[in-house]
Amino acid sequence: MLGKLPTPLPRVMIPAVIAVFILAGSGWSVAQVSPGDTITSANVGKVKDLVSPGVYQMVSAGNVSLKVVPTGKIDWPPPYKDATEKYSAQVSLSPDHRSLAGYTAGLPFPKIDSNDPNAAVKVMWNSQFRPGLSDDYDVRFTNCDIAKGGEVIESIQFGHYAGYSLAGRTEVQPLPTDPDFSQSNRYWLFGLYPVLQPAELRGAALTRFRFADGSKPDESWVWNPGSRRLRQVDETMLRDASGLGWAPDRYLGFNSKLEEFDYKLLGQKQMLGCFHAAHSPQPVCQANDPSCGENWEMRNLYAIEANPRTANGGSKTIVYIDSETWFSPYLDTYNTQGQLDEEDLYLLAYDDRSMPQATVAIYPFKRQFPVAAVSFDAGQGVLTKCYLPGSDTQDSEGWYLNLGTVDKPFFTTRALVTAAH
Amino acid sequence: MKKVNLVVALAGTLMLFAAGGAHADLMHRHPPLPKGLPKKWDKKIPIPPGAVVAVVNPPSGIVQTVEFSAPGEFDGLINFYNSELTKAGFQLGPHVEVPTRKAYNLNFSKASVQDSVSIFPDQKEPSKFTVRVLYEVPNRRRHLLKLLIDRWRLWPRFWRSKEPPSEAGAGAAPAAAAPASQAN
Repeated sequence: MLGKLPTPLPRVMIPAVIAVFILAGSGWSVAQVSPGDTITSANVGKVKDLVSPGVYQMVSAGNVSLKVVPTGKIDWPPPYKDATEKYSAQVSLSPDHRSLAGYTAGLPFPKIDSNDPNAAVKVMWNSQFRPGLSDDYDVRFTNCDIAKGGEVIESIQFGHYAGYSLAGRTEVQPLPTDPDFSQSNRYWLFGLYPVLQPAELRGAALTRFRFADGSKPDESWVWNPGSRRLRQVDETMLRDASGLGWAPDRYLGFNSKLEEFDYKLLGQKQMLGCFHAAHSPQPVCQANDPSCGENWEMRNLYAIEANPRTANGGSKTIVYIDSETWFSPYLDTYNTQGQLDEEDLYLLAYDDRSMPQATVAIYPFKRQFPVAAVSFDAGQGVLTKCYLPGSDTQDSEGWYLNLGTVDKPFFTTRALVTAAH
Repeated sequence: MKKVNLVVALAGTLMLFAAGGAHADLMHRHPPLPKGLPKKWDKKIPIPPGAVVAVVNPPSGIVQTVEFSAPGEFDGLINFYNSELTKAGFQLGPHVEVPTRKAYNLNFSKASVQDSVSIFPDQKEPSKFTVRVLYEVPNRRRHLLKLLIDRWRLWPRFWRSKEPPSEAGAGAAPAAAAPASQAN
């Protein structure tokens, strides 16, 4: 499916292959597209082999358009780079080859050998502890538009989309591990609350904790404004998009508990992805509007097939992961009949601030942050676009990344209930 | 005679009201609000003394932003908001302070309302600071409903939410850090 280079190469072809790589590295694509091209549903055939089947479907339907740009450089945050150099040698997989062992901070596996039988699971762990969101994050007044047949049927606005890592911290004290980790064994905490609009969902909230223990499922709590009750929800509900418009297992990539899946490396390939988005916040676009096309560039992506280990553990997903930023630009989920069921696409930017008018959340170096997430439910024909920060937000800061903005008490169930009241 | 009594009673009532009003004014001597505030400004949000309205953005949905130009010291403004917001009944939430750039942001909330204030140097007048307040436009009906439900416990006991755990998940699992000595 994803081709590897035929081996062995005839000697005469080696210079040609080198030339191809040099050209690819310089931003001049040897594929069907070149920098400056705009891809819409009219000429989507040009990118058929350069995006996932799901993204191809989205572009074909006019939901997404692409502006091809030269590949840009993306540096890791210097503290993350230092942590990788310092700690990565200690990291390994657990005896069952599912969990992480000896992890402190930085990228767990800087060198991936595609011949390693555990290469796929290592790529997934790299994605879990990727350079982007290592300590804490908070983006306020985000919103998701849910559309069917080109018409927005629901718009949901959230107060906070926030997270806090207890392990792998590189920039904000306590470093590199929060002391609570030794007690609670939690890798990270996440909170999405309160829903501000629509009125009937006002106060709805979600919090989620990920444990280092591979056998312990995620713990998640939901505040339901209708019943006015706090409920603990099991993992099957985290795969469901119907609650808050987007399945928590797809927040910013493949977000399921890694140990619950088997992984297979399908290959590594030059494909298109949006890593230098020009707009933050993202504009609200009509279908097939080429002026709304974001910057897409050729990236070196891993394609990993993830299959649930249990019958009720979800379905097959093909996860595409960038080999430099370890972020997943898109992933395709298939139903039990093997048909494409859901496509999730993430648009990323790279800058020293997430909004041009930011005055507080400005960083000493450029960093990666998501600006939008687009999901298409093929079965229901529902398109959801989440804006990070919100499309018409009045907040001027956008992402607060590794600024110590949120702490552990922010993710308690008490905080959810207080915010809902 | 009856008329006289009525007039006296009316005059007495009016005097009491006037005295009460004056007393209330003395008790809550708020500085006058600066000119140019939007109609639906949340009057519970404190404004630093001497601040003037610089920019009023039109509301988007239920959120609106007002920028003030305020005199004073950076730390003084931070202290002002930390103390006055608490006095006004707001809960202080996450904050970010960047002393080198004199930039500050504080979240505050009350009865499900999520607001925030940012303080940073005024670009036009470096001796002053810009105070940007992002707030939810007050909705009296919603607040009244919240008050009825939450304060007066309108729902029967069986229908109310149970008290949430103090910190779900924390400490729930035994200490079981990832094994460090195994090789893959």
